[in-house]
Amino acid sequence: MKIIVCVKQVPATNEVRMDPVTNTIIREGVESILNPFDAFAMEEALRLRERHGGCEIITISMGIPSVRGILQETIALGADQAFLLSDRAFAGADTLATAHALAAGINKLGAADLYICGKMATDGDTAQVGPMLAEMLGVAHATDIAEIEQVSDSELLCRKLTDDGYVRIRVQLPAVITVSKEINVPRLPSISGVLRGLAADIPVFTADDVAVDKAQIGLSGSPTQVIKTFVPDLTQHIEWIEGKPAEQAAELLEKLVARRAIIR
Amino acid sequence: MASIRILNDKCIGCKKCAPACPFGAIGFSGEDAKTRKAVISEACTLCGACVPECKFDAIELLVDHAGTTDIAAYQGIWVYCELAGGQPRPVVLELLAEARKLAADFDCEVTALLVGADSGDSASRLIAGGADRVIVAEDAALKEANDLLYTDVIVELVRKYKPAIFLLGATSFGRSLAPRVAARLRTGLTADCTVLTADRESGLLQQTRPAFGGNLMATIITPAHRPQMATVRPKVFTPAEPDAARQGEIIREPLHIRQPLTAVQLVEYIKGDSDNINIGDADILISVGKGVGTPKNIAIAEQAATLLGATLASSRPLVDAGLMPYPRQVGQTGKTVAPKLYIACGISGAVQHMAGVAAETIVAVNSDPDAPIFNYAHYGVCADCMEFLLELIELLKAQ
Amino acid sequence: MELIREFTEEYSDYLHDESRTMGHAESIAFPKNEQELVEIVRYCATHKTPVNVQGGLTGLAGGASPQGGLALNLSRMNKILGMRYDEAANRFFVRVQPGVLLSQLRKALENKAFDIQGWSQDSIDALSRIKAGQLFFSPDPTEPTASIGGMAACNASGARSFLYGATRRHVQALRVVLADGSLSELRRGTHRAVGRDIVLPLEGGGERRLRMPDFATPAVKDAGYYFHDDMDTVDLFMGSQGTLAIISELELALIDAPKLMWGATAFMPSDEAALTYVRLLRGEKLPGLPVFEHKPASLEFFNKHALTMILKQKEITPAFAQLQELPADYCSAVYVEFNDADSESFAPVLRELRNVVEAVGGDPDKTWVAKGTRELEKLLFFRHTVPETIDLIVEQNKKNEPCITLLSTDMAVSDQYMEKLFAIYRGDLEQTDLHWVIFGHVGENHFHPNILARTKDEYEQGHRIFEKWAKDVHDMNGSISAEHGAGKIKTRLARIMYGEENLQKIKEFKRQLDPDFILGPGNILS
Repeated sequence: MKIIVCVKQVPATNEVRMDPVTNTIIREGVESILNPFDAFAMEEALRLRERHGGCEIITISMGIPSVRGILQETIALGADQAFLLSDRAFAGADTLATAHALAAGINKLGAADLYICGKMATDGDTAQVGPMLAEMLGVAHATDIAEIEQVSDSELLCRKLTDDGYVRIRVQLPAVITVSKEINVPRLPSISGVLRGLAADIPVFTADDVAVDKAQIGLSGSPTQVIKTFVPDLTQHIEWIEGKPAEQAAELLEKLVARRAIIR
Repeated sequence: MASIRILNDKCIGCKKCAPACPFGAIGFSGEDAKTRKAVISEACTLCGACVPECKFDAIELLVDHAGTTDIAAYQGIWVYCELAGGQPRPVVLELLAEARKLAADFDCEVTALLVGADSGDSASRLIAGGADRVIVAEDAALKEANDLLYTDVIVELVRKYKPAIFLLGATSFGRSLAPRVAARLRTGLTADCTVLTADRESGLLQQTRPAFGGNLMATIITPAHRPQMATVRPKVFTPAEPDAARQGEIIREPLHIRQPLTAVQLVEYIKGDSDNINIGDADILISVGKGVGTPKNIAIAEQAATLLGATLASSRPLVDAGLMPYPRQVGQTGKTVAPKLYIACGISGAVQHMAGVAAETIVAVNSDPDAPIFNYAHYGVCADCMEFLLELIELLKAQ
Repeated sequence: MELIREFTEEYSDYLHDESRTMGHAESIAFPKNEQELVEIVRYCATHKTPVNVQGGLTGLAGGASPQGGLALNLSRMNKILGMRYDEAANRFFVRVQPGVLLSQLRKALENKAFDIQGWSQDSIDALSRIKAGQLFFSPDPTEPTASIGGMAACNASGARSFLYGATRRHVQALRVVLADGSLSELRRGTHRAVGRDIVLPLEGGGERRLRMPDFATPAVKDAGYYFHDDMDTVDLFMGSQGTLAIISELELALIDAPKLMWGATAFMPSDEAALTYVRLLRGEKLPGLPVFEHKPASLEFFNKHALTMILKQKEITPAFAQLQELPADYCSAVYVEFNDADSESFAPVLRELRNVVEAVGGDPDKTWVAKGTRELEKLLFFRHTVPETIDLIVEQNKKNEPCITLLSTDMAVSDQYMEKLFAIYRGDLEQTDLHWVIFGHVGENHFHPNILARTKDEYEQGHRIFEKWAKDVHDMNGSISAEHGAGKIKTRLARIMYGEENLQKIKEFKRQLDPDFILGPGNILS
């Protein structure tokens, strides 16, 4: 079975920190990491290989040249090969243009049986690229997979989280699945793995290399456009309830009843 | 190919653009203020946030969109109606109410798109909830949620009727279906919008959503593609009071589903334990965070919840630590909740968490008076959570 | 007095620290500032009320468990007061109240998130010179919710003190409240002993002259009293565990934060292989084995019992579900961490590390590597799980037998005795039917053997074994408490280490500062 895992580099923290002296946003010292949800995707690929055997694992990402480091990490964990799509022409991509670029890269590499994505990336939180990629590749997809219960060359039996609880689904391959954080506990790489990763050659593909229509990628290929960003002001006027815990509990209950927030 | 550049003859090196960049991609060259010019680094994602910040029009963003050709043909607002047990999910009525407001600004019609197997009286409920028109696409093959089949049906109808705006609830299925539909239509889709605004001047829908875990808000448009698609989390908007007197048109669209696609098949619903409780349905939530910490304390919080008729929810750290099940997680990466009362115990109140809370009344209990949660709370209790909960339990028992 | 409240049931959490040593108190106070603290101490001096100082209550030796009188809890003195930049030395210092938590200080430095209300202009200027994450306070007891005051009071150390030294080294200045309520401010380099003579300048004029005991305290890492010729006066109070004075303010020296933190956990075929691995990583040259020349920040050891224990706990404690699966076929594990000024050295050092792991019989395919703080968290989580599991088990065992407390030691010896000390621990424990584990800061020859007593008999047996070890360690010129302090649990061991005669000398010295013995009753000297 050939498995392609799509990964993204994200900032390690989402916190927008304000400098107390100058009152501007602090940007220093934010580590770049493998999107935590993609770490679950990578781990699940490794586990499928251990369970099912005979799996080839390829990772792919789109981003600036330094994203090679993240791909080296996937080699360190056990990916057989990793590829990077990097070109100014890919920059400014929204989810649609990202999916388009990834699909072009995957077409260049050759189709896989299973594509695994993290449920979402922690910087964008859209959860859109997985299903969009499936559509562009012309395969089925299933989101929010919490467990792969059975695996064969032609299908997976999965547990999936929905709004109404868990369901069991059968997914015929080829397909894209997106995994939630319940699915596994990602492992750390070994010394041998990390050294393999550092030595690994990560081929970089430009837009021309994957023969993609430049009108479909990057900013040009992005139907959505950000016109404004701002830091939200979410401050709420607060009423403090003072006293010892026993007094606080009593006063709070009284106030909540008066406000009809609870009915007595 | 799109590009961005600084027009050096216009740039005065005022540095006003730098804070606007969410990616820290703007630096400056030159020894002193006189020769200083902005420089855009590789970290730039061409998001364009800096462009309106420059008063001197010194930042040029070139975009060469190949968009939808017959934009003018796209009219009206569509709301996708997801059914659960033969009834519209609550988010559908929330979206209809919001669509009505947009329709008033744009002076257009609101259409509900009902796709499913057995919709009962849903169509009339949709009209009472704000739809001018309901398009019903029913077929036995659509009984279970199926991304491929639903995409086929929806895309065909969008192509036929050409709505300008298409809103979907960001339910589990909505978040799976909408990207697939948008990809097939090759149009823009904005996830989890919290504010929708009609810009009458441009005729565009302005979609505002949290980015970077809610720490930053971004306003997004889809200028050259149709429909302008957006998903909205449940409980973000308020439904209108149903108006049984409202009139509307019901159109039944015949379907020709030749062969059901079964690449992804539902095997069964997994009958669950209490973990199947949908915290999104609860009127009162007691939500526990890191400050509660241990299994013993969680049990105490649960006892308080039971006595108060509340459901127990959690912030992310306890879920990550394995102390609470994931379906109980509130926040950006968990569930959005809008209970009448939200009691946050030992939750610091990171924006990521608060992005998922839209409660009528928020109570914060925390021993740290500077915890950000107090910025959101209506009532603040600065106390040790456990001491407070134990007192609350005593009181509730006594009543 | 308004600041002092009667000790009622609701304060029962303030009767013990993490060691579960239950104390008792008649009153409790939570001063918010130095002035309130002074008022409280004056009141206690007048009424000869014993004063038990408490910080984060995370101690492991009962130092904060009150023994009658007042529980003086400093947790509300938790403000970061300001910052100072020393241009000549190009160093930054931060001024804090003693109740500031380590985690609070770390977070503030990492995010440059300080509440600067009430700060002087100089402080604000100093702050404006730093970037988020640029500076770092290195002392690192395993528990991040420890209070800074508590850390200073027992000269806390931890894993990274192997590289950075214990808390002592990072405290530049102190303000202390003496037993009569007078205040003294002491600065490293400025206020020094002359031989054994010490002068404490008093706020508002005057001074207090003292003469230290004439013996020297242990030369290895030690969490107790510090008496040396010509020493900085600040050091007198570091390690005194609330028995000489109460720390009301600290100035901490900050250092440049490392650019890259990374670590590796290697699984070893035998305890002996693990200890050889440790010697190699310390940079020692051993015949026929590769040389390793990159100084680690910390070296931590786990024996097989410790690893088995957490695996068992993993099945019942959901929080531990996030632990990675352990490899099979190992005896013990060693964690090594590096704090590097750049990321260039990572690859070459990792190659060297592979050679060392292989040379002592480890498997580079089964050695976990964590690069960057995010990943490192996973290895540290693994490390922290050990004491946390012990905590859970002790709490469980205590339900059946209330007298049971944590039975953990933190004795340390010099480098030459590392194997000997380990062999004594293992040899003595293997002869018993006790449930025990050994883990700890092997870099500084400092293990934590823990006995998980299930019965009163086992508990007493544990204490007897500890006393035997105290004698063994005394013979090796070691310390009976390298990092937790003697507190109340290890007073018998302290007696063995100091000897009766020296103990009397310490008491005489204490009398000069605290004539009525109101400060820290029961700590160290009991």
